[in-house]
Amino acid sequence: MNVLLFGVLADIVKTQRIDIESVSTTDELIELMEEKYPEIKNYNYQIAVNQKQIEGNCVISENDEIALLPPFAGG
Amino acid sequence: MFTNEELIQYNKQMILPEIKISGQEKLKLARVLVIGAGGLGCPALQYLSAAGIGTIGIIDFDLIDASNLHRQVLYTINDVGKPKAIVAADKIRKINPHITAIEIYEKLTTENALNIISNYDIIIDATDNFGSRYIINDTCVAANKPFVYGGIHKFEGQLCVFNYKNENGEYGATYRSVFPEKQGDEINLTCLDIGVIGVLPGIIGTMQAAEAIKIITGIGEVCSSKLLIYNALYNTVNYLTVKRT
Repeated sequence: MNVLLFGVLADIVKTQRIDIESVSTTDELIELMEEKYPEIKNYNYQIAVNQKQIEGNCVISENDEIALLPPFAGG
Repeated sequence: MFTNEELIQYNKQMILPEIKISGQEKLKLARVLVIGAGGLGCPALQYLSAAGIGTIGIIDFDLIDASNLHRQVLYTINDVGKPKAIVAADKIRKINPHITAIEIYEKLTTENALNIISNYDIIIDATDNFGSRYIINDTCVAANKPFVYGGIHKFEGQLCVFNYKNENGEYGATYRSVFPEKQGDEINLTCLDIGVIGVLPGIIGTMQAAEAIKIITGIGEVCSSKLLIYNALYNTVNYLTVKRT
């Protein structure tokens, strides 16, 4: 599935978009992401599924688009 | 309500059927506070003053630095070392002598925020740190004021109108609805630390001014409960819909 990354998370992963396979919940996705890119644990970010912010764990499938979004401090 | 000079000055926006003279009157009666006269604040101030917002407050405690000039386009090399709030107010009075500009050369704090924010209808969050953003959010929620958030990171910008009351009397999401936990200040990534391209705050700050004008005149769809994320490198626009919590 498509995972969109923004701000500092895109800087850490070094791309705006990655393809992640074989996860079925957002918790699994985050566990996998934080294992692969431990630096992202230092940041607060929100999770959206198909452009909607979610709370807690959420079941996801291959066609869903996930976004990981930190706040932007700069101005 | 308007002098002949003003009628000529605002003519091209007043001939829009969405604005008309009634919309221009609303702009003249409006009071907008711009918090932060930096990268986002400068373009917002230029367009808000040119559009004829009757009263514009500018709060900033910082001094102009030469490294600001590539993006803070109200200022020139001769302004380096001077207070942003005072210089910005002078500049927008020159852009439009028919408006009132109020400079507030102070830092926004939890102590003074309510007093300052209560005097305005709409707040523009053009700050550069998480601490100020939470003060603005919490004060605007307490004072029932909508605020137009802008944030930037390198080539990306975020825009959202928070705490906006729609025509049905329902309030939209707040900053805390989207970002409930404050990121530690040790990871407060500002333009000073990581760099930014000058046009990016120009674009987002101008969009903040556009949202304020839409709220005041009641036209179009306000970017409420919908966080817009713009990427200047790839020309992408993403949205995140959020609920008020």
